[in-house]
Amino acid sequence: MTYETIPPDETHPVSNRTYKLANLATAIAVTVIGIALVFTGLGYGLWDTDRPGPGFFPFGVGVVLMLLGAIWIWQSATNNLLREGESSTPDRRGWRHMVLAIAAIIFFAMTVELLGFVIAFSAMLLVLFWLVAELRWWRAIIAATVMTAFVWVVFQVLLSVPLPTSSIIFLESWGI
Amino acid sequence: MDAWSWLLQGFATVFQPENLLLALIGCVLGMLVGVLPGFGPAAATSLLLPITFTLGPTAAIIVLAAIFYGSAYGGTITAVLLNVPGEASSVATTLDGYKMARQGRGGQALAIAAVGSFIGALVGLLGFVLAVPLSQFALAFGPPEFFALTIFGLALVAGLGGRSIVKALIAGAIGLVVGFVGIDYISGVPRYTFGMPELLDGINLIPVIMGLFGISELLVSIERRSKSPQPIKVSTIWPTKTDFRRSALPIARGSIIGFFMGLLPGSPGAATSFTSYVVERKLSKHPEQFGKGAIEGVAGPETANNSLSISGMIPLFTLGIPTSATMAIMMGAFTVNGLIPGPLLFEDHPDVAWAIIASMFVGNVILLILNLPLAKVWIAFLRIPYPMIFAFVLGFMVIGAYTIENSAFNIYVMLIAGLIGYGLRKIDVPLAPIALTIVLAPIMEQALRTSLTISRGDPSILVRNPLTTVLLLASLAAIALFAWRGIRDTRRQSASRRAAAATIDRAINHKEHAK
Repeated sequence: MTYETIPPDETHPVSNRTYKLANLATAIAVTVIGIALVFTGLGYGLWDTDRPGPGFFPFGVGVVLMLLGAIWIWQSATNNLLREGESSTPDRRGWRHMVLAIAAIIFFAMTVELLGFVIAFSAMLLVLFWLVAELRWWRAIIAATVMTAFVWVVFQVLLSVPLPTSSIIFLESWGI
Repeated sequence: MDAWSWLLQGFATVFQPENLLLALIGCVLGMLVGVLPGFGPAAATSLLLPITFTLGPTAAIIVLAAIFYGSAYGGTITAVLLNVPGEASSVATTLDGYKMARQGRGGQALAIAAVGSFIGALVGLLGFVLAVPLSQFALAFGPPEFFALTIFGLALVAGLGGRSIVKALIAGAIGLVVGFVGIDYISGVPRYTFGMPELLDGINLIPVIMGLFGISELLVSIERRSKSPQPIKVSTIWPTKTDFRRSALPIARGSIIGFFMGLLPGSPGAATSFTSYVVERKLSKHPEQFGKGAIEGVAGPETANNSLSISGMIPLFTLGIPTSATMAIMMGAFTVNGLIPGPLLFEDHPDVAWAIIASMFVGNVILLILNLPLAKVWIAFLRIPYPMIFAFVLGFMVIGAYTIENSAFNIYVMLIAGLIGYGLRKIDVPLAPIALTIVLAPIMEQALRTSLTISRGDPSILVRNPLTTVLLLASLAAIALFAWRGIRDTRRQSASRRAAAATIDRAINHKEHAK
């Protein structure tokens, strides 16, 4: 067959029970935020001498959130939730990709000022291309190098946005 | 100066090589966004928000607007050649477009879609130019009117965004909460800063929006194993005379349908193209051909969704009210550059406003060229593996977030917002109302507090004027209607679930009996 469409992605649909529990947990969190807003709103002051105070709007939004949260809790507890399509959870490989991607981003955020843009960024990209996008290692190295150069040109040269250099003197003397 | 001379001057601005290049870049990016399933215009515009700081307002909005209307073109290609809608608004196109491609007429489907899109966009732009004087009317709005208007916009976006009005309204409230953080500009009191000096100026809305829309969408994309698609080959591009004749009226009707539906808050792209599809099938002399490769079924919806992509910007530019997530992000781009979209934009910065409108004319010509002679280039692009593109985009977002204030703090903000957005997607909480209230929060709060200051605390100021009364009552009615619809759908869903369970039970019983 030459007319084949894309094979469907492999997905793991969320069971109704998990969906319900996730809804319930979020609904409770929302209600708690609502309650917190009401109290902090009172603390900031609802009314100055002749006009609404800084706590006025947070208080109002808190009341609304509390009411809506209560309805949501009731809906989750009594199985009155509407599901839109099938939300799915990632499989093991999907989880690994997500965790690796997030870890790579945190690594960049933590090291960019120490190692400088060039090293931190290309290291992050290497993880993203090699382990998340699953390119072969040598292709990942090429992709990471090319993109680091590309981003450097776009920001540093075209937009004149300075990118950080390393705070390690040895590296900085190399200009990275 | 009248509108037309401002428009001419706008063209002069756009034809500066720098702005022309930016319009081209925006169109190309918009096409790419359209071609990538699972990566929408909201995510793409959020991706480029950090860059808009250095470009200045005119150039920034030219690029962002081009991404928005460009993506409406690009979504067609995957819909026709892969049976996968690149954007929600091209779902209707898959019905007949993909069938045409299987009959070897994919090129014609793409060409008619491009021509229709171009005409739809021109009609939308014409309507835009004619609608600008109406913004004068909004100049007389005071704080109560603005408050009522934001509530009205929010009610409609919440109702049209998802099936559960409760979740949608909660989403709206969450956006407001994000806006509370920082020093209260009226009293000077810091609110919800938890002693963190980074939070005194408030949470920067750019990384929040980048996270909510960009990162969460990327996470959804990398969590699953997408197989690389194989697009159907395209031979001839140019449609026949019959194709043009059959498409003329659907294109005309699609332009009008798209234009008016685009004015509604909630900008329902998918609903609009389906409306056009249904209308064409009803009016057609051969309705039996629909779903089997009728060119009218491509021409109408594709025209409608492009007309909508232009008219969807009208409420933001003339009233200052964003009607979709992408428009909220554009509003963010205005405000970070110190401009406030709305009636005052045309009073105080007509040069900026009209240059942007002129850029849309130019941009659509660029898109027509990109789509007719260069269609095959985009088809080649479909062969790049998706994961590689997602990795590229992710890297770009991270460095973008960093450069906003040259601080890693915004990367963390973006990441946290991304994880929250990812979780909310999984439990069907719509994100569009959050984007809306994040940018509207200061306006809403200020409008409400100023109103009550004027009235010395008397809340009746909010309903003293017929306009505000109508808007607030309409908001209440809309919320009630959407709530009723939700209750009805829930009943149906549980009824069908019970029926399914009963069927399974019966089947099991039957099997056991058979044993």
